[in-house]
Amino acid sequence: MIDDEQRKRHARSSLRLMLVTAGLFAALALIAPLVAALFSGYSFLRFPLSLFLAGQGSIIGIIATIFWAAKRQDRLDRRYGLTNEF
Amino acid sequence: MSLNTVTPTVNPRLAASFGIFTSTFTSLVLVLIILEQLGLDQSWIYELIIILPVVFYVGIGVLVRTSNVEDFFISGQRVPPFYNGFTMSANVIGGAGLLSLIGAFFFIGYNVLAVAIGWCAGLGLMSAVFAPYLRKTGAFTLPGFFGIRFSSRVVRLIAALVLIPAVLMLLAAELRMGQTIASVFLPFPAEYLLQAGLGLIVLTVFFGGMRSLTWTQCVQFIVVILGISVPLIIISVMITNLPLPQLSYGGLLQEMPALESTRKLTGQGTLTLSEALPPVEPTALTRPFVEMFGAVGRWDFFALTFCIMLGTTVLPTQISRMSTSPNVSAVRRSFGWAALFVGFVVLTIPAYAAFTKFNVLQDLLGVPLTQIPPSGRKLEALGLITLSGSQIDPALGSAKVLFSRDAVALILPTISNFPQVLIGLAGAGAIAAILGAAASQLVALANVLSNDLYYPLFSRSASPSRRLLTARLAMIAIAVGIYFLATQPQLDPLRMTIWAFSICAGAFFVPLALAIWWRGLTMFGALAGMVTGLAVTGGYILFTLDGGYPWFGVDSLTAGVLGVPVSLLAAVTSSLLSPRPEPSTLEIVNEMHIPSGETIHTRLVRLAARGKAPKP
Repeated sequence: MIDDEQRKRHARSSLRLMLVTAGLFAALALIAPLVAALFSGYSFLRFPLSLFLAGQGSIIGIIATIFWAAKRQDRLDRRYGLTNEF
Repeated sequence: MSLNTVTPTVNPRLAASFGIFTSTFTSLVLVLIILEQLGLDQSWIYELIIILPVVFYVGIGVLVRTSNVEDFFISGQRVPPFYNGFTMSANVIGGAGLLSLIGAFFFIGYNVLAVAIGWCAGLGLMSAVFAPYLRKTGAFTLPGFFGIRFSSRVVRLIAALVLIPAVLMLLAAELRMGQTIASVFLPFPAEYLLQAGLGLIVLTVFFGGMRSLTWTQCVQFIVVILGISVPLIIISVMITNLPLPQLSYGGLLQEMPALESTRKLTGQGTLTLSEALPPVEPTALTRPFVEMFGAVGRWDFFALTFCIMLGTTVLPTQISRMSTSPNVSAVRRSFGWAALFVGFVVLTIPAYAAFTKFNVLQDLLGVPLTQIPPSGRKLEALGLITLSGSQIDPALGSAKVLFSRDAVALILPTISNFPQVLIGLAGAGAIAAILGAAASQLVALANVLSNDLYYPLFSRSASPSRRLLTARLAMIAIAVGIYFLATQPQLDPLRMTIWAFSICAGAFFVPLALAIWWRGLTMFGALAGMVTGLAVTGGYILFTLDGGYPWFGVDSLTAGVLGVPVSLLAAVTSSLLSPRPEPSTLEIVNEMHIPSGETIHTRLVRLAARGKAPKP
């Protein structure tokens, strides 16, 4: 078992990563569509840019964030030796 | 530390099995296309393409039957991330969500994008905030998690009671949607279809519980993907010359406004969310497609995203899925896959609606009744639209066309004059989505009734076989009970689903987030959070339905926006006022955050067997 000091450090880093990721999700889901509406005059791939950013952009952004966060957390766990891989 | 961890073995032939299923299904479709060209009767084609896959799902469910507790409740903890992603995305989207969202996009365009974004962001939030820690706890259900976290049967019991209404609402919505779609294709009375559907859902998961559910849901999700992609890709190639509908419908959006204004689709002004969402009854098209913050205002859009997002993170069917992964890291990868699949579907939904609306605008609207094309007559014969012309002379003026929201998904292959098999394929996809989601809600509910109500309350000494028996009996009881809820005439699947997400968000998001991330949360805090969250959200829904004046402009559908802050306030104040949590409870919170080693549930079972801890 890891000692208490290490556990605390791991928990703090996890908490920080969680807050950053949750913040990103909130920004991409709640704020991005409102901001995207400002770009309704432009177009991209023949979509109005506002719809593209809100409809495709934020969804792709969310998926990318999930993979990024999973990778970061896995790396963090490995650094503290907290994996089930032998 | 991890020496006593048993690594569950994954079936190495999974991919082969699913490959075989996919090719069997494809060849079924191809054979039916050939038979159709040879002149097989239309009703036969529909019956074969709808019923044969369902027989297959039930077959899989029965074949993987089990009498092992771990297999029955958490699928033996050996579902690889890719397949877990399949089942999770099927849970989140659900048949009612998928079909009514296609319909809503068709009617009010990008105004309902909030739901799509909410699903994706909810999955992401769940993977970051809850999932690894729920998996480490090893609880079978959401109330089970609370039971372990606070070492308390009371919390477990109350959580189970709070959870039941929302899941029942979701289940009723799915069943009603299934009834609507099935009656398009099958020539039986609607109530027989509902009874048969319920019977088949129970039969699928009766013998194998979560294990049956996992593998049937994977198969069903493959059918869903095929069902919505194949017609859409064909039509995309026909119109835009590109087999990539999700990115190629931009051109349609450019042409749409001109087309819409000639067909007088110029609905203006912001409505409240409840008014803006299309009703379940056949309705005329009034709003343009390319419109954001038009029918639905900014605040309602924000609130809807918020409720769907938080509701997705605590969806009880999702939480039962956490423990099916082999380890914590696999849970995170499951979410990556799930988000990819959900992302694919939610990028497809607007494309599907856009192509449908474009075709409808071109062919059906602005034409006198006598000049409606044969495809329009076929839509009418299937009951997807209703046509009526001028009373005086049907050859004059444009015909009035009303569309049934929940069946919009079937319009695209019909109006494009595709072979009947492809209409049936879209229907089979819809049915698969509905059966999968309904079965997962049934299993989640039965697990809660057996594990969190019967077992801790009435029979702490129940043997494993006894617990399986109660779960199975619970399934039958739920099926009988839900039949009466699902036959309520005024039930609207879209609104029911959004309400259920709102209630989940209001009741469970705060207690669950604090239980994982705040060591100071006490049992009383969690109880207060859950109960006030449910009371405020549910109470506000009933209050506004009863004609009450909305507070702060919050719509009844997004009642979770009020529930979440009140629940937070209640949870924090009661935690601060109640005695500090015991060291043993804090120890459990610490352990939850260590991703390696055996699950807390396994450890408690091991200790209980030696009489050193109460049975979890």
